[in-house]
Amino acid sequence: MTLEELLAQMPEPVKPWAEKYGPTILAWTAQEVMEWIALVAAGDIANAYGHLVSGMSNDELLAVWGDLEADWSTANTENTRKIAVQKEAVLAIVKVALGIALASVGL
Amino acid sequence: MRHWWVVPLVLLLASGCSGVVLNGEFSARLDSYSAAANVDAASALAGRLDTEGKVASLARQAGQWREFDGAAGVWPFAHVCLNAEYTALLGRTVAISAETAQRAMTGEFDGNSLTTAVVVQAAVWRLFQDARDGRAEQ
Repeated sequence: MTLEELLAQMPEPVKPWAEKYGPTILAWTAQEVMEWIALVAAGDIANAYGHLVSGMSNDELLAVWGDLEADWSTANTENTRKIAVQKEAVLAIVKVALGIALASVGL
Repeated sequence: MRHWWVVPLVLLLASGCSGVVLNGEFSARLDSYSAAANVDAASALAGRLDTEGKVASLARQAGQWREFDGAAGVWPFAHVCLNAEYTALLGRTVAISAETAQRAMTGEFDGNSLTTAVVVQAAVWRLFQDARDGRAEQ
């Protein structure tokens, strides 16, 4: 199996893993790869990722901690942005509702 | 519709919801676990935490991450509610923390690697707190 073939079989959310850890995954047997894809497709991220990191060297494992830290940080930046957008949208709705309420009592 | 004002009120309350929502118990656990992990990280960096202490810290933290993963579910019925992105991040953290603890307990890491693992894991606990609080690291 080539990296391109592997990527074609990957569910969308884990394609970045397959790109990043492709050589590790390609070293598995075809049976292992299929079982791993089944775990990912079932949403069992902990077991799928656990299988992935279990075959890594200590240095690779510690480097993956750095990747994970960066991914948490990126997710937090996006989370903060979404919260700000939600707040703006709700404030706009509340302003309109207040306008309707004031108009209904003749103010 | 006499109670029209309920709609904007509910929207107002729901606004600003983070992708990570914890109940009071798990929120307190997160603060406690993060504080302990950061004390361990500072001690490890200062050379005040021996190998046994670092291994114990990593083993403890692996169990703590599993607590959050095990309590995750659908709002408002679960203690820990995460969106899809944070669910995947927590799952990955549980997995790598377990593998790290396993290797630490079987003596596969040297002292420097143990310190690195303790320090980086403390940073991830802080990021989990930031996620709950809707903060981004500056």
